[in-house]
Amino acid sequence: MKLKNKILLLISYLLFSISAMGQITSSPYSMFGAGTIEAPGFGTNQAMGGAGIALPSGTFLNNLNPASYSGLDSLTFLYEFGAFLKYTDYTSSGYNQDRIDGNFNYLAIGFRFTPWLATSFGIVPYSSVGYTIDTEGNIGGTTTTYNRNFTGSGGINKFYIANAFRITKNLSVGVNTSFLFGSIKQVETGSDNLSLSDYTLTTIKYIRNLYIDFGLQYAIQRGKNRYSLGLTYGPEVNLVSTYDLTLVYNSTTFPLTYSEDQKYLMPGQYGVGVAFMKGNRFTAALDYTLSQWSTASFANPQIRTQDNSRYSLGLDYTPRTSIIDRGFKKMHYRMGGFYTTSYMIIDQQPINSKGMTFGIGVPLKNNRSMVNISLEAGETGTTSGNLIRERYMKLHFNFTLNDIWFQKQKYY
Amino acid sequence: MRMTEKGLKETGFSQRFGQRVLQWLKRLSAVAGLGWLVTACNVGSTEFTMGSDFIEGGSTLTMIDTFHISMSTVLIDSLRTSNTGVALLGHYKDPNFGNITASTYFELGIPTSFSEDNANVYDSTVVILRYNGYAYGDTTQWQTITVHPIAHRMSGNDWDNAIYNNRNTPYLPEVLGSVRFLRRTEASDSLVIRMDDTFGNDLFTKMNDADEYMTSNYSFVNYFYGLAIVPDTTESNAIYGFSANSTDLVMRVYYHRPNSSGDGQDEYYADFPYTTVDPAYNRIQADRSQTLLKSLVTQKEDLAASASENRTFLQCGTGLMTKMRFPSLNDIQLLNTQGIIMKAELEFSPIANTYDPQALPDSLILIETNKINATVSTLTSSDGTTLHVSSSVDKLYNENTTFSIDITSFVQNAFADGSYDTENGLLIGWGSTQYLSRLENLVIQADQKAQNGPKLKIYYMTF
Repeated sequence: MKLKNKILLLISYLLFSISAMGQITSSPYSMFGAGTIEAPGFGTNQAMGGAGIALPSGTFLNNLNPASYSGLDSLTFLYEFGAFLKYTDYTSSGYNQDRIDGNFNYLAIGFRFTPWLATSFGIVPYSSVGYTIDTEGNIGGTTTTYNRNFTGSGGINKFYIANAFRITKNLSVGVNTSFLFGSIKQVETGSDNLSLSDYTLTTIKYIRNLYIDFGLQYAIQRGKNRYSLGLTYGPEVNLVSTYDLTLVYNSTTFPLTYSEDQKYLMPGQYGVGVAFMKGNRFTAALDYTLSQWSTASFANPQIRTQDNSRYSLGLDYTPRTSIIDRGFKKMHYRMGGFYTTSYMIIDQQPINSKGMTFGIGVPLKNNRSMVNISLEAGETGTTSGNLIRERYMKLHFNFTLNDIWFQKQKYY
Repeated sequence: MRMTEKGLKETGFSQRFGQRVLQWLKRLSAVAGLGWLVTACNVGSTEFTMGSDFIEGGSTLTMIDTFHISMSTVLIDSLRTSNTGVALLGHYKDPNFGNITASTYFELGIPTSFSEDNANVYDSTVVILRYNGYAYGDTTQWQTITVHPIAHRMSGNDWDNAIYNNRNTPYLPEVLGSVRFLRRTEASDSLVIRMDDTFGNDLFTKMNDADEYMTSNYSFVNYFYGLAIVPDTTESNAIYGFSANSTDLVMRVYYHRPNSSGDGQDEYYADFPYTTVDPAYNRIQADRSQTLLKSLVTQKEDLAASASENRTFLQCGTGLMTKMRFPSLNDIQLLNTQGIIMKAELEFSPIANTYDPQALPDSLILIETNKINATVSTLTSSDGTTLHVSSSVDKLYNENTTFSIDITSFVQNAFADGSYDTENGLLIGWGSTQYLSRLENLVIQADQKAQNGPKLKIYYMTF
């Protein structure tokens, strides 16, 4: 039995780690920096527009704020597992195309050790890269043009261990230690060049980096009403540790070095959130996050960076919470929205994002675990300046598995 | 019972924790299996076409052609023109290249079939030259050539048994034969020179007497040292090529004897063929005293383009090559530290209206050279094959003809010893020995400011 369990453990780990490395995004904008930065948050947060810095973990794991884990019940063992299916429609001046992507997203576990210490760990995506771009190159000093094709793949994943400490009845602080790992690959192929043979330039940037961020939550309970405030902070860090740059030209492979240090900046981040909860029936959360992208710079001089803001608002409502209720009345209904200002300005065009979310949470038989499904409809980018607008529908699947520990219980 | 409970208690937190984790992971693997199907869902085309402004990362390709090229004309003073299979004959006047005189020297062997007979009677002797199709100059002009006996036995150089184009082989003033000719049509495939009968009869007699000189080519060349055929330099204006081999170039002796029935005579001839007991060769003289190149006399001292109206010269046969040096080539190392040199291409052009697009040298190569203009080594590609200059010929206007060659390996190897010695350079020469019997030439634009000036184009990639 024990051996069997070990094998199962191994298989599920492998399955996840393989897929976590796979492509989970397809966006030309993922060409920049570390790629498309994945919105944090598990199923419940995702259904609420990504908001929840001030929300406690309890019926779900809230990884937006490491201080939130103090909200876990003793004896509770929470398990989050997520996958998504995303349909994207890309529009640029003159053409339109679409695509479906899907993959695992995250895997996390949370539990409380003692009344004052709770822990969560898991693997979540930080960023992802996936694009194929055709463009025309020009040999500087000549009128010769040639075809350049870029493909990008990879991404950064985050293995984190977060600890939340309950300082007082109202105040919790959390520290989140992450190991960021992954690689980002770009393959450039030059062809149809009258002056030169075809070449392939491959860059693989490896990311192995330790990262620590912090959170704080303060909550006041007034009868059934709970008012809370959350703060988060993450310092700036350069993610690239090593890289490989190789040129294959005329059947010869040249290992090369960059003339400048390679950087993918993870910007300094400040988050503030407020939340209101009325018992288990109603939750509202409002977040504001500021990322200091202005200190980052991209290799392309056409691209400017600026600090970006993310505003998100989410609501969660359930008609009945009583054990005797059944069906739709017990379900959680969620909705939210977000707006993210661009951190990069390409050719004077900011790449803003916005979206709406709608979701339901369906309690499972044990009344504690929940299947969360949400739909996110959003838009990134713009068609002006010959850029690309992505409109997408993203279906999030999330299992929040809640087990009561150290107590015999039947599950299904 | 009590023991069991006690045992359970002792298992403690960690074991129970582990069990729980495994239990959940087991369930999770079922979910993960479901999710695995989702992974396959990357469907649809996502190849975007975007402006290059958008691109982040990747390479930058740049071409620089501002490297200084210092050009000069070099005289290669020893061209091996022996045993080339071509007899070059004629005289040609060229405003750029001077008066060029080609004369040919070769030995004769003994006839391969001849039957001595007291009844044999000498008739006449001719030298037969067969055109090889090559002609340079104005072939509408009449041309006179004379045949003389060579004064001493010829011999190749001690070191390579070859004879160079500048060898002056003395010949006797007596004229064995001469012809004034004009090659009117392609159909006239050979040129026949009537020879002196005293000379012919002497050889015939020796042959008929089975003289000991007539036993082999080796003994014969000790008796007769060979023929010098030289052009008259007063009237002609073309140089012709003839095939130089034992079947195409012969001295033919005609004779007869009464036939066996006694009612007439049978005509015979015997060929004394071209032979190379000692090397046969073409002497190619160039009198450049009336040209821009008049001061060019030794190989060691090249003539800078600035001393020859910003043009340099190249002529096969007479040994003119153009030297290119790259005084600023070391600057390329700066590029190399920032990126990678993808290609180095050398371009040069003939000066407009100095060339016949139909008669351009088509086998030009580059030869590495040094301060004393030695021909060090031929430029090859990485696989060892000789690199040839390619041309884009402007057949319409004779103005925009350009030659180009990839010299990437030369540029990359130039820094093998740290830095490039700017005294070293490249000679533009010819890659085929058949050009030693040709007089194709180029007048090359050496002015880098000119639109068709020489250029070293470096394509490099930065990251």
